Amino acid sequence: MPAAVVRAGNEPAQGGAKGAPLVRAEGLGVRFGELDALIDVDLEVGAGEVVAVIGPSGGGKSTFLRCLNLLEPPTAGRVYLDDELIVDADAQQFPIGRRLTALRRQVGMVFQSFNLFPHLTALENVTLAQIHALKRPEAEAAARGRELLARVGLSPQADKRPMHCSGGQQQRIAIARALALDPRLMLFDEPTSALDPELGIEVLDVMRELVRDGMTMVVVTHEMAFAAEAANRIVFMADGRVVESGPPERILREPQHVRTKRFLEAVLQR
Amino acid sequence: MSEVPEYVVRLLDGVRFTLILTVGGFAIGAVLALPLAAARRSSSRVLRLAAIGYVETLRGVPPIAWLFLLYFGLAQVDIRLSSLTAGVIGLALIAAAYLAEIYRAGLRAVPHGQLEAARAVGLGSVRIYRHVIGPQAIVTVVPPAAAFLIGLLKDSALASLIGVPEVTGLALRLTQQEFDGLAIFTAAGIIYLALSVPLATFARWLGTRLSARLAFG
Repeated sequence: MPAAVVRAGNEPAQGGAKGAPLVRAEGLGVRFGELDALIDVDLEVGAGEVVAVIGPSGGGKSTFLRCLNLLEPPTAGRVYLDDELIVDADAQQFPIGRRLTALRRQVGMVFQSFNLFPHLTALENVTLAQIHALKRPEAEAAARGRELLARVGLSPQADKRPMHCSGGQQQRIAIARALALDPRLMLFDEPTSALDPELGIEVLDVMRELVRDGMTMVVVTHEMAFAAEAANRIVFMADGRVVESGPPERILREPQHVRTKRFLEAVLQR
Repeated sequence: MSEVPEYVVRLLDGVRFTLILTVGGFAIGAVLALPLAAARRSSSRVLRLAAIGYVETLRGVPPIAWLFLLYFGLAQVDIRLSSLTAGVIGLALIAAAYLAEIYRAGLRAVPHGQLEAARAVGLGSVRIYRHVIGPQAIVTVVPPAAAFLIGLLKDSALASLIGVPEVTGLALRLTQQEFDGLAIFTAAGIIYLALSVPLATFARWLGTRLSARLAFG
């Protein structure tokens, strides 16, 4: 049944997309000097879809994620948000100024190293962009901030500085900070990699809740259990390319490419 | 007031000029240093080189030469500045060069992830510097900036050579009017100390307070 094999390898969005594509990357490439960090990546993420991106370090996962919220300008390809062309590297078109900040507000980002603002309390971390980017009145921003901190289980930490919170708490504050802008898409860049396994669990729990609430998410992760149960689709990247993608059960149980098999063996045999 | 010798009273008259030179030069320089530091970090090569050129030129020539240039040099092309104006402008231009480098070091001390996180939540550059990068950079900036301010207080004495009647300038004049040189310059020294010691104390207090606020300490 060679046809079935071909079909299986070529239908990344099948069974995953719940709606129209929210974000779409076409032929995305990033070149740092002589190094190709990302090569010809095509990916669609439908509204409400959860995509887990797995693969070896240095394989382009983070670079890809950073292209989606325009932290890294691609050197090739295009990015669409709602079918609207927002970046066209081939035509040297990049959003700047207000358009750039307005686009970024629609996309929340959670970093591996949290990157909380150390001079602000947890609550202030969550309200800063609401007040200065969204122009929400302070009282409204604070109310929303407290609500989000409660949602990630951190009401008691509202007035503490990040330094006085555990790593898991810090990452949950970071999630609340990203959610405060009511983003349509959440990007997670190895959100648990800097955490002890026990602290990682509290972060993953919050992420599972977001999945249940229907948030559209792209998650770069090494947490295979999370990818297996929470994602609609897994994308395996290595050497700057998408090697294969598909439903979690297929990618994890019957990977088609040697590169994927090798990676999964190494990860799952720990 | 009979206990206070006359030369002390006359020296104290110069304190306001010393303060105008120091505070004025520092304040103007501190503002001018902002665009300089921004240019130094700019992605434009031309701006970067221009900023480096300015900083190195201002730091590479003795301050007294700049004061002479502004006061005597400009007069030759019919731009006549008062000695006090020339003094303040000269010190401000020099302060801008030094402070720009101090700002740059402060900005570099803020981790890159802070910039990315601020961008990711949709803040524009001005707000990023005002609310995220600036408040963190200032902790690194305050101690060297305070040290520079104290240095500037002492450098303000150079303005005596273009005729500003600040403390040192007055001390020089008084010695020429047959007052006792040892006593006069000792008094002048004490005046400078009385100005710089509180300044240093305040700077130390501010530095500690700021680092405590950032919970780095």
